Amino acid sequence: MRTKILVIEDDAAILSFITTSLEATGYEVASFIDGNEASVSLDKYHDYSLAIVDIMLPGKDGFELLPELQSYGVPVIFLTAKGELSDKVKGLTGGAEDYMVKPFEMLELLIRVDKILKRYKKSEPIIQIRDVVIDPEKRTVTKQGKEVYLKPMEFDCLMMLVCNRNKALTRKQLLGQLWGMEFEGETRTIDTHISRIRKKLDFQDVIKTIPRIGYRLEVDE
Amino acid sequence: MKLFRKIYLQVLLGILVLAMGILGYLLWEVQRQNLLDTCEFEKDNILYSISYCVERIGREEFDINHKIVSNTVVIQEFRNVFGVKGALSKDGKELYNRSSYEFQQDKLKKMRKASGTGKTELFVSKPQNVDGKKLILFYMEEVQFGGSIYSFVIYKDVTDIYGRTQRLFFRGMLFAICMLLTMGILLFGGIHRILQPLTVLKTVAAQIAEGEYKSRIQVTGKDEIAEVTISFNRMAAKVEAHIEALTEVNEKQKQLLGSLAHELKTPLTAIIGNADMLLTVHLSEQKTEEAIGYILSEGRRLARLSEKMLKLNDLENKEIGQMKKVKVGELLYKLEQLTLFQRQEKKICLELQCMPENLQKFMDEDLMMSLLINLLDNAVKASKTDSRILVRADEHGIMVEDFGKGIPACEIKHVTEAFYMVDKSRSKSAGGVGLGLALCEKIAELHGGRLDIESQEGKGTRVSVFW
Repeated sequence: MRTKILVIEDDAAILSFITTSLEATGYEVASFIDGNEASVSLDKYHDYSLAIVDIMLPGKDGFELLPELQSYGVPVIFLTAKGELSDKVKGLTGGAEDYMVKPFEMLELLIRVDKILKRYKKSEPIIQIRDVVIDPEKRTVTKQGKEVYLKPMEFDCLMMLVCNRNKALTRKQLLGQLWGMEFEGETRTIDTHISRIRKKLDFQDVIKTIPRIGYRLEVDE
Repeated sequence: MKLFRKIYLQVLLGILVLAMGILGYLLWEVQRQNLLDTCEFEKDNILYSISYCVERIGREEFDINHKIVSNTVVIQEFRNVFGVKGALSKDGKELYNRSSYEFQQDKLKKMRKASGTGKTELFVSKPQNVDGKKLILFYMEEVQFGGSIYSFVIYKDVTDIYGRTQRLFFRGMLFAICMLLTMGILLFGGIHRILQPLTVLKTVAAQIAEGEYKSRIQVTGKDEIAEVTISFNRMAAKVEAHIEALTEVNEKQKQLLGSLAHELKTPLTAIIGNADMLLTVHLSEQKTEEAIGYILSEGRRLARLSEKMLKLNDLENKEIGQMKKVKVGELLYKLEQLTLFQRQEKKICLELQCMPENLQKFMDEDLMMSLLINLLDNAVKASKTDSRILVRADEHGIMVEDFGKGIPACEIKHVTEAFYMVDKSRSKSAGGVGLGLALCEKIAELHGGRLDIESQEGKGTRVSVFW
């Protein structure tokens, strides 16, 4: 069963790319462009692992939807164009998990989604890609039943690609996430790690090199 | 305060000079009069004494021709009459002088000649400095006794008169200084009070400079300082009004800028997000087209937004210029033609009324047309399919009425604010950016009119523009 995410956003163009990106990364997405509609549908079905909600919505706005979502135990990430501190405080003290100010980078949203899901232990406990099984809890990787040893950095790198599957990551993004933003290292370090992972897991055609951008882990759902 | 010190010192100096001048003049005059009186008195006295002396000598019996005898007689008589107060001489030689002074006969002669007094007349000199004393000298060059000629010098000591004047002067000065001190205290208070408003003026000016534009000065009296105060208050009021106007404009601009930045974020998020997705995610052809479509439409929305913002900004800085007399009937007809396309979709019937038919009004035709198109646009958006829109013009103004969904009462006053949209998602999908009515209101203002919006939810909206 795939993780289900609820997205409520009144701008169709924004809703579209959030939904598509999330789906490509392996989530199942339910989307609404109106607060009232979302609220009504929540009554019938509310088994979501996470909700991404715009604050300014027609009908019920994000602040009104927050208590409903909380009553079903759904963690919430707010989206808004307002960057004012008072709004952030209102959202976060009201019980929202996180807060994204438009315009935002999809990668950042994906990482935050992942972090929250991990915290709530709602992410898939074991990931299987072809004949490779990854257990993020134990940090182990097995191929055809045999354990393959990955160095910690290699494991993190693999997890990052897996969490953002079907989405290309730039070398800079990988570097920033794995070694910290301050790390001014060679982007070649990434290439070395990727080639080692490919060799160990026989992932030559799973982790694709995207020219001029970086790498993408492709999985057919 | 410098001005205070200047005025204070100058007034005091003036009083001092005046007091000294008056005192000096009075004392000099009194002294002169005293000397004159003394001279007159002494002159008469001396003339009498001389004639008495001459008479006494005439009565004596002696040989006039005997030089030594006659000299002795004359000396004798001179001494009896004048004592120590004079000197007697003959042919330039001093015969008798019991006084404590030396008289220089040559000098006296010269002075007598200069004054034009005759040799046998009594010459009265000016007060002379002799051995530290002030003396008036009486001089008769030729007095005849028997056959001989003698000359007399008699003196009068007037040192006393000078001394008295001097003492008076010092006493007067002392008095004047006392008076001056008293005056000084009085003047200090007086000038201080006169200059007090200036201090207040300074304080208030400083307050205004610090930003307390509400500060004013209370006007007292009617003097020049009061006039300055009144002018100052007027200036402060003008400054305050200006600052307020500027602050208001600034505030509005800030708000507009803030709303603009906010309005920009949504399309930017959509464009960046979709483009990023195109670049990084392996999408199906359909999804790719969708994303590109969103980028295009959001880009167009940005373009529309910037265009409308520019227009609004233009209007903000515009003074209406090319007002012409326009036939309102023709204007409405053009409006009908221009909005044909929008109305067709919803099959909306446009009813035009113009009372009287040949109504003419001064206006900027392009701006007015853009206002009407905006209003009609809104009306079309609010209307249901197959309904009608009424446009009516008369002497007072022009009115656009629709029978659509109306505006909720609590939102009416906000609809002319920039970026305000009653139904956000629907307006956006219809391509609105929330600036239409803000533009309309600006145009109405430029024509010296205003926008009046009446609406009932569910029944319709009527927007009137009064010229």
